[in-house]
Amino acid sequence: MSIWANILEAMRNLLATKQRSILALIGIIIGTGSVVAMLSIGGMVRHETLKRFEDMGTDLISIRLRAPEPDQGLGVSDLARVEQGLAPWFAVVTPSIEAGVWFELGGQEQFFTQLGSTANMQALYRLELAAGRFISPFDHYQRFAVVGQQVANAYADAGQLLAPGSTLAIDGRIYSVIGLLERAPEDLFGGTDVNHSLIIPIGALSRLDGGEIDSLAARIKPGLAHQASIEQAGQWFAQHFPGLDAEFSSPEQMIAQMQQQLRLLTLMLGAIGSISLVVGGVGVMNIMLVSVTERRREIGVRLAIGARRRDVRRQFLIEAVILALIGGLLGLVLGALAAWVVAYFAGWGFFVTLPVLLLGFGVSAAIGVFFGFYPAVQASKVDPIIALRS
Amino acid sequence: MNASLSQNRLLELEGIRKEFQIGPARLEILKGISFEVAAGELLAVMGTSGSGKSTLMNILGLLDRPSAGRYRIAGEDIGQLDEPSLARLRNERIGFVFQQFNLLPRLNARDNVALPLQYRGLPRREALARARAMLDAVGMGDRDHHRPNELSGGQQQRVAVARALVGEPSLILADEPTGALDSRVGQEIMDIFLRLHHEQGTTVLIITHDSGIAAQCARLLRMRDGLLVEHDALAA
Repeated sequence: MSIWANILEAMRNLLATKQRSILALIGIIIGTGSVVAMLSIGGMVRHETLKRFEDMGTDLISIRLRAPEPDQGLGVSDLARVEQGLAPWFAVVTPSIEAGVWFELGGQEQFFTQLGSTANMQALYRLELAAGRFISPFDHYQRFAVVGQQVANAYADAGQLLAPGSTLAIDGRIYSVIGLLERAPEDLFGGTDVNHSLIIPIGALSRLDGGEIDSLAARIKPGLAHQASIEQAGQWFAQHFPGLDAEFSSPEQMIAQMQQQLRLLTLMLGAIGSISLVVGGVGVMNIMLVSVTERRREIGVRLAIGARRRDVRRQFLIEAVILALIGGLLGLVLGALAAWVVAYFAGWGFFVTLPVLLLGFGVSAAIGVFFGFYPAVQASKVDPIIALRS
Repeated sequence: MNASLSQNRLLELEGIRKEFQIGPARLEILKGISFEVAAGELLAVMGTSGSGKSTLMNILGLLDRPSAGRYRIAGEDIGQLDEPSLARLRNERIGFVFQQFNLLPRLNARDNVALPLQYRGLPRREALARARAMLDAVGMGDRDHHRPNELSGGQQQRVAVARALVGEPSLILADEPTGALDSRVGQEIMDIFLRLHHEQGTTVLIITHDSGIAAQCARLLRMRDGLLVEHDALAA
């Protein structure tokens, strides 16, 4: 009997017992779904992470500064010393002071950050200007502002189109706009979003808000080992600013952290997946054993009209595999759907790769073969004399 | 037995014995059976239940092997054959007709009839075409898409006969083919066998305990207590 005839017959037999077939498949559906979701989500996270680091460069380092005691923090006056001290490892250093502010604009509450920084920031974060210029080393204490894209949009919505030369009044302060930014990529380190910020010369902001520097960003010099440079820079800080708590974040660490989180997810989904697949496999085995018992007479007839034992074995094996594959197919849909939901809420680009689909399909086929083998052997051992007499 | 028949021996049984071990007891069901069947014969085997006729039928149909003795079908000694070869012989040489019809419930009439050809390796399309022709031959051509549970007993048995015939076997082995049918419908099935025998020279061996059926066969074998007694059909 041809494989195609076998498949056709298997489909017919499965359709005759639709309900219990589907019920037997729940394990495989969940199992394959978990595997597919796990691999897809993993793939998307890797893709998103890499994309963001491609935008920003993997040599970017963020140093978050915290002074547990008052007056131990890093002031604007310390900047030159810090820059010099870190020079062996870091090519560009830029500080930032952040001062968030809520205010009403066009009847809506808005939250912006006043981000005090230096001219270096533009190169460091690869910021693109839509108009005007960025702050320069000569702006010192000037109340200039470079406007982030979302801030400009919020003003536009409120009926005020900003351009270089415009004047902003925020929180009782007057700033002159000198430039407007294009949309900037999201901060990798989970820091302030430049798009929702006004970038102010750090001297001006520290005068207004009293100036402890919140964080530094830097690029590691080309050719230096990242981890070693970070450790040495950390030691330099500990030596020169003992009261200061400097927390370094590197893209490697961020990737490692994400992968750590991902590993947990992978482990969890992997565990669910494998348990479900085993349960599903046993479900398939069970339903096939029931089927063999129910169809003993049919098996006897088949043997009588010339089926070889291996034909019977093949028929039941194919039926088990098709059953498992149907479960696998439903599992693929479920897994892809789960991945899509995750991607939707995380704001990632959704994709499912062919190898993932093939793997999901292959796993369910393998389950069908593995757990279908024993029932198929049982079927082929039916004694036609007894089966036909019953 | 005349010379022309011996040229033409389809079945040869010599000293066939069958024993079963049931617990500590050994039960001898067939105690040495010898007979020959020539191609083209129509014969009946009668016997009470427990006489061993079912066991004989299983051996004739290659579903079981004798404990001792020799069985040749078309000159081929089945004692030498392995399981796949026996399956091939069943498929090519023997057509079974059962008392309980034994059609596969999930297949329609045409698919049921095509099954032996599919196990022979024929392409599905060709198997279905031949099945369709065979259903026509037994008067079931208009029911080829019906499933067994949509057919009466007599109709199911006609389909079963078509399934037995479709592979053009040397031997039709019918085990109580009319046993589950009323006498009128049973006679219709018997008429099909008679027609096959007369028109196409098909060899038909019918196991029955209906003497009315047996009387229509040219030759009658009677089983009694594991032994065979040959009778003249007219004397039955």
